[in-house]
Amino acid sequence: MRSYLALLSFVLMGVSASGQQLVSGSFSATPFPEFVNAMQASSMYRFHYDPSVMDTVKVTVSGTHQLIKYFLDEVVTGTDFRYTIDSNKVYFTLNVKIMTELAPGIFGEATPKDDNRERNLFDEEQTRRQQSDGRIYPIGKRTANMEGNAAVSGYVKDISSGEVLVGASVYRENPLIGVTADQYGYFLITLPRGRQTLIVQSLGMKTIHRQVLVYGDGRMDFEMEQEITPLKAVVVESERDQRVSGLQMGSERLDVRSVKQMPLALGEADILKAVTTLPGVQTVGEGTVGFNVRGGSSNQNLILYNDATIYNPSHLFGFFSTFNADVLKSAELNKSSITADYGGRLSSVLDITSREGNQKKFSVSGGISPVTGRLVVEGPIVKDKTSFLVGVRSTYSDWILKQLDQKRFSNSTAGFYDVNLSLHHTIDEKNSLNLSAYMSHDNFRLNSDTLYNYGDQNASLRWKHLFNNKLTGVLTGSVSKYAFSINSNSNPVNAFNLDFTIQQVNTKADFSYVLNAKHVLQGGIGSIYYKLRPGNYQPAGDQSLVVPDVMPDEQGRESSIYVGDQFEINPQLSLYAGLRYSFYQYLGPHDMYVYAQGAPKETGNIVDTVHFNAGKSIAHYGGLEPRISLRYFTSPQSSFKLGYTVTRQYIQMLSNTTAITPVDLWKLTDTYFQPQVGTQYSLGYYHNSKRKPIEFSIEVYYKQMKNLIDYKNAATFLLNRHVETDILHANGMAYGIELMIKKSVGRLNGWMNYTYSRSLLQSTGEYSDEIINSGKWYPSMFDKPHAFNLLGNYKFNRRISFSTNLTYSTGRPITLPVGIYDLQGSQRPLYSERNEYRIPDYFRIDISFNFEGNHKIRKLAHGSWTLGVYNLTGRKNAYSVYYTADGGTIKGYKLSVFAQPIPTLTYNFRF
Amino acid sequence: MWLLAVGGCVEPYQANINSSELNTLVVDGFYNTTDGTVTVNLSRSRPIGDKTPRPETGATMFIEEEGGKSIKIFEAAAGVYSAVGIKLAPDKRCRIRMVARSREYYSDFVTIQPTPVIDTVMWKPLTDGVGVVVSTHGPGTTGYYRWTYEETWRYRSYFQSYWIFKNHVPVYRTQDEQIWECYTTLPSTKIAVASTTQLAENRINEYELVFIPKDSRKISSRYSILVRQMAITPEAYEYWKQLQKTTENLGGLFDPLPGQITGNIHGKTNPGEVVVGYFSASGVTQQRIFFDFNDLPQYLKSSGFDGNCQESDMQPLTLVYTLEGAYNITSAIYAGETIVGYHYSTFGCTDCRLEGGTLTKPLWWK
Repeated sequence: MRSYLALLSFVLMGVSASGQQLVSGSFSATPFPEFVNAMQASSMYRFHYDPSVMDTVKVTVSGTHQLIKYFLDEVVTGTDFRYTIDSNKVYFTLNVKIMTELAPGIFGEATPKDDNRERNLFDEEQTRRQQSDGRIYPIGKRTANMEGNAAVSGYVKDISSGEVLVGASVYRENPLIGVTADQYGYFLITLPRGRQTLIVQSLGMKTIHRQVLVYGDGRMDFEMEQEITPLKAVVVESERDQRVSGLQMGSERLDVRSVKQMPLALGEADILKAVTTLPGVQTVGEGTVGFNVRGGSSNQNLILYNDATIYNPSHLFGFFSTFNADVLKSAELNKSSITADYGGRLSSVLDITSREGNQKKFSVSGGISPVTGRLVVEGPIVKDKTSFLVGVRSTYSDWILKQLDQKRFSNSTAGFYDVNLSLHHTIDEKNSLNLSAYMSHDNFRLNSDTLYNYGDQNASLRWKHLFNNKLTGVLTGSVSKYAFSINSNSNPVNAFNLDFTIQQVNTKADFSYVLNAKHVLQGGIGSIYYKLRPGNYQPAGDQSLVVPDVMPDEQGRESSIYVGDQFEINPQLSLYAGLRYSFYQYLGPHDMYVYAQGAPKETGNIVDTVHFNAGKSIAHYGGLEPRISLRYFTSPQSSFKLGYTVTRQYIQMLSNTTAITPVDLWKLTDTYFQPQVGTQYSLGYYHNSKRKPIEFSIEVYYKQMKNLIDYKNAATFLLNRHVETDILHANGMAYGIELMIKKSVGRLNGWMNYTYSRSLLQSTGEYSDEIINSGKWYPSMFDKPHAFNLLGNYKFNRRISFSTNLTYSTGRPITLPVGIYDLQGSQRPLYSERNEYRIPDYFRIDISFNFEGNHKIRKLAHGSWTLGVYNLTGRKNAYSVYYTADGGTIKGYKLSVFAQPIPTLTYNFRF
Repeated sequence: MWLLAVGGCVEPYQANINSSELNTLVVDGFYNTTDGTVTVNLSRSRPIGDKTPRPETGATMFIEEEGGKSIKIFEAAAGVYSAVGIKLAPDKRCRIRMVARSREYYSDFVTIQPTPVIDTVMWKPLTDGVGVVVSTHGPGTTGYYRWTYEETWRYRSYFQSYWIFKNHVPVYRTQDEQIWECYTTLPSTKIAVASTTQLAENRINEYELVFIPKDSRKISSRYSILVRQMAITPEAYEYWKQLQKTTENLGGLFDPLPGQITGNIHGKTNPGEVVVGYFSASGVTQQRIFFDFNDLPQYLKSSGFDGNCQESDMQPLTLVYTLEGAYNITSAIYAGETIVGYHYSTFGCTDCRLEGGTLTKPLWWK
């Protein structure tokens, strides 16, 4: 810093006789970025370089009234670096020199497009430069009237695959106007007429700066390049993040490419594991996919895969998620300001989008880890119009079980697979179709003769239509099904099959209309029809005496309508106001038990059974769900946000086990199960450092929840025709503060967050067994006050990188014995109040090294190796602590899942 | 290269529990209609780690017929209240009522359950041990059962000690001085309940009561088990099942959350008071089986010893006195007709009592 300040006074600007700028300056072992800052400050030259490569270069040169070439020659002498000067731009490259003479005809094209020429480094550089060159792109019909605003829309795509880039930022500065591309890569921005620079950014892609001259409404597509090319031009100071400028609060987008850098368990990149490193997101135990967002239970998360609901996102007891990272594009988690187009779950929306396949060429990629093999095939069916993607992943060994406690799982087998298919078709400029199909399946036999099978299946079809430049509509239809079965045949007399199925059919229409520069309106309607078969118990084999027991089907319909307005009050202040109305009906045919008035809901108090015919509404609920968020810029780099979100949920999972199990039941809201209602207030402050690519945010929230499900002691749900007798309706309260620091670019990048949060329940029923802990507030299962996550990546060079992940959290609450007594020949524990104690704190470090193959673009196959160690310190983190009678005596135990460091080696390929 | 034996584990753990003197009343009551006995064990809970049971003495106890007679039950031993020759109407419900430390408690009224006979108790060879299974059937389509059992097994020390020191000289052991063959009897410590609610018949087929691992000493010589069967009410079934889940079967990944299970005993003086335990009434049927080490299939035959037993020699005779009090002599070493020394081994390998059993053969043993 000292040398930087000192040299500023020496740098003078002049003009040479030939009209070229002359520069003065004195540098001694000055870091390259400081050299660049000094040069840019004192001249018209702008530098473009890869910070991860150039940051370590030290510059020693001095001169007075010299051409810039004089300084640059000194910088590159004796190194592999080359520089290129093109008018006032300076490009630094490694080994390669950029040709500044352009191929003829380049500038003759109206919009930059990939023209199928054989691509090489020169072409890619050229495309990039073309997108940030001095050329001005006109938009709309040429007119003399340059007053007012115009709507500009288009798609943001990956230039190499043709796939759309979800969540890309399209914006201009001074005044700042920005939008984000939707899940189709489509954006619509209202700009003042006239000349301006549009900046397009997307994670892992090179930033585009494009000069546009807006005459009127029009279209402008952007094709972005990946940062895999040897060197790139990252304009650090303009890196702008959604967190500051976006209207929504508590929203996190994870790009699958960054997920793949994280060190994760068992050699698999796992998007859900990545989600759990975000502030406000926690898991109950190790090896569970079920996650808790801001003190909500895991079934309060709406998990969407290409707009179709996923019921169980976990493979193999939760050690893997059911999402094959190779087919995914991104995941977005909304934990506080949920816009009005989403509904049905209380806590969060996790919207996972798959890639739609390479539109330009066929490619095959895959990988092999100790547990699974993966393969993805994708390519164009009709080039630039129709593409497909098929992904398959499957286990090939029981390796994972052998890693667990050997005796406990010695007679166990387990396996899973998942299949993804997507088809994308561009009908014309105004219409596009996306078809997605997904299936996951698991089977396991845990040290017994009982076989478990479960899996999700879903499909969705989305039709996007641009009515005109201002109005777009998306029609979505989807079906989702989750089923599990339990088969036991060890004892022929008791052999049985037990099946559970839940299905839903969704239809919805969503519209977005740009009213004017200040208002973007959204609206839509939707309907979900649920059908449950809550238990079908059948004999297996001839000798079985099992009586078939078929639990009556359940039906329900959830309808919704919503409107929303994104209102830019002034350049500093923006408001999103949305209102959703949801209406739910529990439908016949069904027999409902009637319980005696003024008596507890117990089987002994059933006084009548009422039959409802098919389609008859047995119970109905409805309500408004206002969604409001407000953003205020305190400076171009920082903003305040306020949020108010009401959500309602009409379906719940019944689980009184520690983690989500695959055989937990779902239950529709009915006469006795009331819909859950959540209200969240949140406040956030976001700041991006002006000079450094560092983002800081702080969010606080307070949440009230009604009609949460808690359980009477010893509740059971399987084949229980009167589940209402085993549950409690509890009030919930959650609050917390989340701090996050993120550095998204550079040689060292990553994030760090700390969360203080509480999640509490209160059960004050009418009858003694409905009152938990004498009606006091008590911690929920996932109340873990302190949580800290650190995720870091460091690039040694272009081929070797290092990642680490550090996680700490308070142990989850648990009910432990506070005394013992003797009964029936054995000591028995006398339990404390519910969740009065905690298991030991959780702490884990993971590391991984990535070794990339060489970066020759024309190479046939790209391979990479990942060597990872999960739980590096081998800490025996408690999954649970329990006291159990063993040979008549109560003993305390701690169960750990991954109690030792687990090294894994994964090979990934792509060709 | 990644096939390293790594993974999870279970280890003993002591949570930092504020274990307090809750003095919760614990009631374990049963009216056996087959022999007309009533036994109620009354005790108090104690802090974890406290090994001394706390029988509740000095309480007054009654068994009562619903709307009928009330019979006082006396304390037979500390905390054990029992009576014989109790005959209550089998079609009426009954309960127990008690006063302990000036507070009154009572159980719910329970129906008296007739218990069907046990069809079979069998032992079954399994892949890595022996299972003892019970089968029964009853009237109607639904039955709820609870079993208790008592295991007795004969076992032998690794070496038989034929000699004993008397007046510091080895002499041949008499029949009464043998310490080779012992018997151990253990009552059940596990809850065993089953129901036929999901079956078309009231039939229990080979419910596994006991699993004996193949290297267990229980089946190293001869084994016997006495199984007692009781029909129970649905509510009792629910209670025992829950107690089993929350006190015995924990430790899995998908365990139910534990919580206090209270049973059918309530406080009258203080209705909010937590009382644990259960009272039920039923007939008892029983069956005993025996089986022998030699009955086992070859793959299950294992001595149950860890292989640490060895015999050593002690010669010459002048040094034999050094063995006294330290080892047991197994047999003599002869040179022709003359004893020139002794084989000996540790107490652990020669005295079966050190493994916990007694030398007394139960009267019923056969």
